[in-house]
Amino acid sequence: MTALRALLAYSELLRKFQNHLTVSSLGLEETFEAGFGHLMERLRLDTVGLFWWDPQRHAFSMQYVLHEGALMEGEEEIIVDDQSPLRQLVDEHRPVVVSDKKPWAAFIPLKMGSELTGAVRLQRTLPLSKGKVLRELSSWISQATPHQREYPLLEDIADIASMRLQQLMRDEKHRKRTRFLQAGSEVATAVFERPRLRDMLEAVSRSIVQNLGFDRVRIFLLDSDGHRLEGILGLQIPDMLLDLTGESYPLKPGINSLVDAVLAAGPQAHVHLVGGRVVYVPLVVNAQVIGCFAADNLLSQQLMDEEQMESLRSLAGQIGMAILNARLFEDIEQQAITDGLTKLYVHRYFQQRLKEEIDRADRYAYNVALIMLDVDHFKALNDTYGHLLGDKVLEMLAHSLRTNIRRIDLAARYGGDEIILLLPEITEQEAWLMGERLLNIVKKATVTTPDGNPIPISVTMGASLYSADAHNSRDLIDAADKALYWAKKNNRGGICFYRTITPPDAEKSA
Amino acid sequence: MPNAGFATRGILAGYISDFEKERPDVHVKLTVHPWSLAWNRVMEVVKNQNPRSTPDVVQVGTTWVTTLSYLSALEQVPDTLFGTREQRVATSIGDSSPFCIPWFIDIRVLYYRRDIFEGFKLDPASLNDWVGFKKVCAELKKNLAKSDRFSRIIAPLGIPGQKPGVLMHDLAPWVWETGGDFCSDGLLETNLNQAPFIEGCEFYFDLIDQGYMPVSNSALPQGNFFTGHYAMQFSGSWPVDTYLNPASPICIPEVASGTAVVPLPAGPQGRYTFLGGSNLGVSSVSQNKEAAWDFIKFLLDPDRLVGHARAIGALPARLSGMEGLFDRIPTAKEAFFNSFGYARRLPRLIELGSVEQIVYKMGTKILALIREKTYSHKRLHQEINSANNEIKSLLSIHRYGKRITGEAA
Repeated sequence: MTALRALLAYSELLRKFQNHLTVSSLGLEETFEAGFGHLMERLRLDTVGLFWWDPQRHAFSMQYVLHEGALMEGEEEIIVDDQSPLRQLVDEHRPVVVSDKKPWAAFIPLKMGSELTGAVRLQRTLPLSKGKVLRELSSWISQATPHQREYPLLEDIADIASMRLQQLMRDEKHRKRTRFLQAGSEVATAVFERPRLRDMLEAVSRSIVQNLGFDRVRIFLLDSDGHRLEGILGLQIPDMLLDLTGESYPLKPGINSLVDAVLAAGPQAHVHLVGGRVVYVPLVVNAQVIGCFAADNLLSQQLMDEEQMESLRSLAGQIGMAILNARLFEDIEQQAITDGLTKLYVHRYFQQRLKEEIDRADRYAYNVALIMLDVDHFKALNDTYGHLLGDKVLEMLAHSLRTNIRRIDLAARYGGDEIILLLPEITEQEAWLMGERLLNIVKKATVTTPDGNPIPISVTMGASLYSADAHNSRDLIDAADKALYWAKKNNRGGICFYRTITPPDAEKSA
Repeated sequence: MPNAGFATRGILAGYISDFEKERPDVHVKLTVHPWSLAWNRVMEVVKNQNPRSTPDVVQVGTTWVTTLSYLSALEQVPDTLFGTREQRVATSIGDSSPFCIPWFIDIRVLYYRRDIFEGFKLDPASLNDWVGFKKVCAELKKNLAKSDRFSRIIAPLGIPGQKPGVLMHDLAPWVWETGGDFCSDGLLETNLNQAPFIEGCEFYFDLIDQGYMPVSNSALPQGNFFTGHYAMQFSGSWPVDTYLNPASPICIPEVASGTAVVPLPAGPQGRYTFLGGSNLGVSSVSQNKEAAWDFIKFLLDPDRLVGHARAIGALPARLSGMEGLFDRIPTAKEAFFNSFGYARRLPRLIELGSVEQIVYKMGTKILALIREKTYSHKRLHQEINSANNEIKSLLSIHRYGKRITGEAA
């Protein structure tokens, strides 16, 4: 009867232990607390500790300890040398009872297949003979005969816990894999949904930081000559976007690890891991290096793992292609809004931007100035020297204007030799000064004829101001056009504001 | 919450129970992490790597505050509940940032055994500076080797901490006392490879290498100054109410009755000690911010704040909580109160948490050299240089780029 009772208690204990371990669909911490918490209660244990095995250091490091109904992270470390009572556990993967006396202590192995992954230490202050349930179970716990397993109950506990551990590890691997796949899918989505380079790189960086678990990602691309690595943008935890424009490194060995990684890049994407916490991934497309992205964990100091590296490697090709696509899109977009000869914006784009600037001027109560200009005696130049020289004059003029206006201004080819400048957030005085300055710059420039003679170039300008001279875009252009007409008649080579012209002359152009 | 493990849990469990009686709508679950793992746990929250972990109230080491505020991991302290920042600074000791409130503080001093000093006719006044301190170490080592009187003693000096390792705050006073520091005044450059820093490190690691402060290993019995295994030890205030309490089962009677305390020895460029501790703040991922601040307010009640600090052996982070401390050990009172004047914080670097990890790694490598008996000043300099480069890379990377989004701390 006693043997039967003991057997029943034995199977009941294991069944409930298994139930408690598996009832929790949560992580390791909760599973350990639920399963071994139950075991503590049934076996009257005082403390249960979970240790991970480090084969390099031959040491068990504690992760959790259960004591007085509370779970805590532990710091204990047990080094297993040849004299250690845990030697048998490490070599044979079988439970050991390190102390049969008071306090009683046993270690059970945790395995993943044939590999030792850790151990659980069970400790009890009271001798095993105390307590009703334990008296029945104690023979199973401490049984040691030549023909039987030494500690059948501990062996079974070890098997059940190991199985559950394997399942948890598989789940964790699956979760990680899902996050990596998510990153891949987000990069692919960004390619389709965000055709512009910076937008696309922002989405890609965000996905890498959030799904692959890095502290920070920084993206650098080679300039058009392939001589320098230029910073584009970066993203840092929790969600800080960083502007890296202005960071630029010549492609010379020894400048920094980033440049060295680019110089060392082969035709295939390769990951350079530095100190376990910084990684450089050259972006290679069609065997050409186009840039590099750097990911690091220098803020959190978390070590990067092989799976993260593999994910970066596989994403690198995708990101490289996405960059090429975005650049192509931006090139096409640029071509659609710029004039092929002068590289100035086209009339249609100018009209769109003028409307936007007028809306902004209304909202924020500032002026918008227009300066319309054309080349003096342009027809005579074409007739005398040919249209090729006329094109040269327009190219030179456009370049002088483009490089001497503010970043917020816009220069567009209005038609023929007429060019229009859109100057937002400006006073009449500032617009006048800018016009004068541009006139002088153009006057100093010359174009050379095919036979080597320099020809001086001059332009005349007409200007209007929103909202002093007009209340809509159409009237504003019209006012600048009238001012230009008046200036060509009365002040050739100079600038004239609509407000200053006499009405009869103004009416003539209408 | 890190620190003191079961002691933290014990005292806080009582507070939580009282708080839940006052606020039956709120249930508080306490999670305690050991100090060595706490930084990783906090970073997992910042990086959303553990979706199940969404703490409300967090205990934040003073050295982490700048980093965590920069990463927007902490909520701003509501003035309505806790007064303005100026008011908070005026009533507390510690790092009263806009993002958290001082909870307890920690100052390092030197504990020594009077009976051993008397037995070997050593003058405690020698502990006043580096030269005298090193002489005392040498005398103790020599005398202990040929005396049976203090057979339990392993070495002159016990290494601080529970695990063999060198933390940034263990090293800090020694490099400060040579005029060095971990980084430049503007917090832009690392100073590890500067002569004063190296000099401070040499002094500290030589103590270990020369056997004055041995690194524990499996051959050494587990123990510390308070278990009677060493003649001296650097430590904070925690042993006064814990180990040096006559009721403590760990402390041997000679230590309980015969311990004296002095400030850290002064170096060539003055005397310093490390001022650390922990603050309380509300995590930005908290879904219960209002209740979290209420709980902090509850914990900051003067009796609870002092009660907690004393239970875990720390100093309470408020001026009024110092009364009644160290009454049993008069030298401790004097040493701690004097040390306030020399106390200094670690630099307020955004990357300090990471710099701490790099310095810890450096210390671990140097300890390994000592264990393997391959330690030399040349190897020490190599390890310092390597750490210096890693920190340099960290600081330079961090300064890259202009922040576009996110609020600056």
